[in-house]
Amino acid sequence: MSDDTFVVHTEEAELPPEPPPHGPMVWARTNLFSSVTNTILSVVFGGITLLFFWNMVGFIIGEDRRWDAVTANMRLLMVQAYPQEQSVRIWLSLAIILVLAMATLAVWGAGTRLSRYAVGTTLMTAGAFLSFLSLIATLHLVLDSRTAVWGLGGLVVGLVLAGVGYQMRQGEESKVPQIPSLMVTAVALAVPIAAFWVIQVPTPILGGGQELAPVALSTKLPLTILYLIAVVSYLVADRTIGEQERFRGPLVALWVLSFPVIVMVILRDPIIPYDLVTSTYLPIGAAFAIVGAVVMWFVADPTKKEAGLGVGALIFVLFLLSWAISVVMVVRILLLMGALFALSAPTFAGEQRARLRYAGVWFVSVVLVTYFVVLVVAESSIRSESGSFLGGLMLTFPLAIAGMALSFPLGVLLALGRTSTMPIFRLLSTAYIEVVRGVPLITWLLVAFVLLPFFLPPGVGIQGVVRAIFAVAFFSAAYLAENIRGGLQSIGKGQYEAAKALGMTTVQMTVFITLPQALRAVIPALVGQVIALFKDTSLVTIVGLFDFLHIARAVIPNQSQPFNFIGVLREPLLFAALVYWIITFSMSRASLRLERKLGLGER
Amino acid sequence: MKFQRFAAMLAVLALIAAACGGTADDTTPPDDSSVTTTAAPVDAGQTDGESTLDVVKNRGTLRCGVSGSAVAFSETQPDGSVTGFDADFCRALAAAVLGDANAIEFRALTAQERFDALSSGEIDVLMRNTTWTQSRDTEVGMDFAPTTYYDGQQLMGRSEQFSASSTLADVDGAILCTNAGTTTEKNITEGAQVAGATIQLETVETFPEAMEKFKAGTCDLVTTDGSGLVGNKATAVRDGEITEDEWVIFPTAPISKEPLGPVYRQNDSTWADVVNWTVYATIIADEKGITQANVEEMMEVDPEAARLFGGEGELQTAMGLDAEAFLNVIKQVGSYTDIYNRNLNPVGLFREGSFNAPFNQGGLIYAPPAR
Repeated sequence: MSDDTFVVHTEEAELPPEPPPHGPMVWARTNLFSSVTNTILSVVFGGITLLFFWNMVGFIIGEDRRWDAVTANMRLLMVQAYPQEQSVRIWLSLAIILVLAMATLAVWGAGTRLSRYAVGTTLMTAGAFLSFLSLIATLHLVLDSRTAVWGLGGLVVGLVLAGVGYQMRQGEESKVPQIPSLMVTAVALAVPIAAFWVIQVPTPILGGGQELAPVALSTKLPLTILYLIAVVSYLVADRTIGEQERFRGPLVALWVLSFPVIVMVILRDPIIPYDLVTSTYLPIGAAFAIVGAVVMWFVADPTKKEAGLGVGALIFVLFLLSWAISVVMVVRILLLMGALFALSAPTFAGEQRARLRYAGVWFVSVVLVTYFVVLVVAESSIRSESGSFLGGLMLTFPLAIAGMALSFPLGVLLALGRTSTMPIFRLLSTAYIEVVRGVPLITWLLVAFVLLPFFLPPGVGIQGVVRAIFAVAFFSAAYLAENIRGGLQSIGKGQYEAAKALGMTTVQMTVFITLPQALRAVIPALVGQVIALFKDTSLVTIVGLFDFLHIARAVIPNQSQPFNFIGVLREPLLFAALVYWIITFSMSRASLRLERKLGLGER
Repeated sequence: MKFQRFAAMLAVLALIAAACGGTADDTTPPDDSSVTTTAAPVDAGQTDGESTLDVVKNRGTLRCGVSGSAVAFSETQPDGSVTGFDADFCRALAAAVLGDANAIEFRALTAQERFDALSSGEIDVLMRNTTWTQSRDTEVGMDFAPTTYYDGQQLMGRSEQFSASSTLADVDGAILCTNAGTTTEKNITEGAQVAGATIQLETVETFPEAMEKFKAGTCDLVTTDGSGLVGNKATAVRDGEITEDEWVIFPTAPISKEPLGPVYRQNDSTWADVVNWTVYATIIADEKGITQANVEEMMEVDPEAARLFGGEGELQTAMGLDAEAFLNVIKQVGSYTDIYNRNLNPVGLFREGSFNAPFNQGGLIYAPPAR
């Protein structure tokens, strides 16, 4: 007797399954009005949302809104007092960053492919939202021809977008990922770029009132050029160096170099004091580089293990003694560096090749450090009355980037220290983390600004921006350390045991086994910390730095001449909120993509 | 093995320290020719003989502490430059000391850090609408130049509730908004207590936020220095938000005295003289009707003007300045009236009838004779 006996064959069983009912009405019934409670909740919260958008749009397009306060102060918000005739330096910096970013995207193969269905869904949502807002705006407006055209235009464009999106979602093959995601991004970014050439923005008129005027050429032309540079450089990079692993190292090095070069060379434009260089820095640098290279070559000999430590200790004593006499600062820096190199020489000791390489690293480091000190000592040709060449969003970004770059390695070290088996490191790291984390960032900023000048040796001054960077970085490191520690603790004991069983040293185990896994596991927390740090930079206003938010909140509402913006607070604040949101949202999206790429949450 | 590992660990830690140390050293103010010769004395309260005057001359720029966000006193312009009444006195000082009103760096300071910035030597002079008080003059370690602007705290309310002749006794039960952290808050609390009135105080972070609340009707009154109230009212009138008599400012005699002027570190007489006489020069010029436009003609007519603005100029050279120092002030920045009218008239503040009128017209602006 076979099983077939008990199976009833019917006509229906041969048919494909009935597609589930769909359409807006069905969707609404299952999602919004499935029960009495849900219906009530939907109506109440739908009403609240509608009211919110109604008031919001009404506020934004209101007759007496002073959006001209934002447009007139756009340069102040972005770069504060950076001289306009030098602004090509800013555009150049942005271009460098963009080219590097595009090369990175190409080399890492960061682009994914999206299905027509997914793009269509996004388009439909965006279009529907745009139509919704335009409809509210049109209803708000007294139907004078100018504004009604914009409102109705938005409505039509939104509906067209939604329609296109709907069409894209049709058909089974629409779910196959085939559209490059970077192309979608490029097209999406082209919209605001193109809009700059079309739209008119509120502009204040001298003597009162505002009018609609096109965006200044000095804004839209560089932005368009930057956009084209980005697109072209991605296409070129994708065809030439695309997805080749050997370019990854150099790219990382370029990124690391790009920050000091952009800030110290391009933006600051130092006037190199050549007479001082030839009389002081060149001889000092050359002497240290050559003599030091010989010493390093000598101490990196594995047979002379203790020599490095002895030489290192000797140089360190020299470094301490150098504070007793009057000497150029670069000598002290190089002495300290020499002591560290000599002390770590046994770790890198090896045969002839390794010794030569170690001496070479020393040589290059001396050259770089001396060059950097010269850059710092040199006067800036950027004359700005505010005393600093960084301000506005151009202060917020370097603060966040430098703060992050400094706090990440420090955080990793602190996390390793806190999980270390050596009591001294554990104790020091724990003490650091608990002390720093236990005090608000504002307090650390005030300490850096108000107390630090009294602690520093006479004659050593630190610029405000740098103090803020250190306060932010040291503060953020404590939080990062705890996040990373969480990751370290999530790693199974088997990983440690397996590493030990393979005969790995503690350093090898940490670098190759535990740390990579720990960092991967805590990416969401790390990104949260980056976003928090980015927003925390707005606290530097408490120590008198003109960051983006401070300009929006305190500077613009206090301008009386030539344009009178006294008390205009709401518009700049709303604009600032929008800018912060766009930036942090992009960060969060990028991190989601990274997580997906690393397969986080799938294992 | 253990020892090696420890040494390696130590080296890594030390490298981090080096990275930090290196960067910290690199941040010496960029305008110094050599890192070891940073000009800023750490505590100029105990200057080792070097006056701020020499420091400024050697540096070639004047570092002036301002607010950067105070209507008409120091505003940051859309192009990033700083203008205003305080900013102009900074420029006047730069013109006197360095001969160039633009040889200046403004440092934007908050109310909290201004005195520390001054005593740590980060700035040479503070012109950040700072009220001259006993404690600041003594225990905080500051000295005050002659007052450039006599202000006083007042209140602003709606004319349905208050009139220009209202007093503090009339504010009983009112909700009052102001910005936190200044003496404003303390003054009104004390004043109301003395007058026997209970007020409900709502503090916000900045004054524009207080004005927002006042306009929205959340509070019945706002309070700050009279100059700020007049400026905000004038703006609201000009923007058509209110009519001239919808808001009233009272009481006529301010509830506090707020003499505002330049501040410098104490025990530096050379520098103090320079700042004081720069202010006096603008006032004397004003008393004699000398302006930016006519200073050179007036020097030939008036012997005191000739002494002050050039001629032999030994009075100036004795102070360590150029003979033409104050001529530069008047020519590049202007007299007291020039500075006042240029910055404060647009926001509705006028000298006539105020404390800031010349002494011979019932005001308090007075300068000792130059001879």
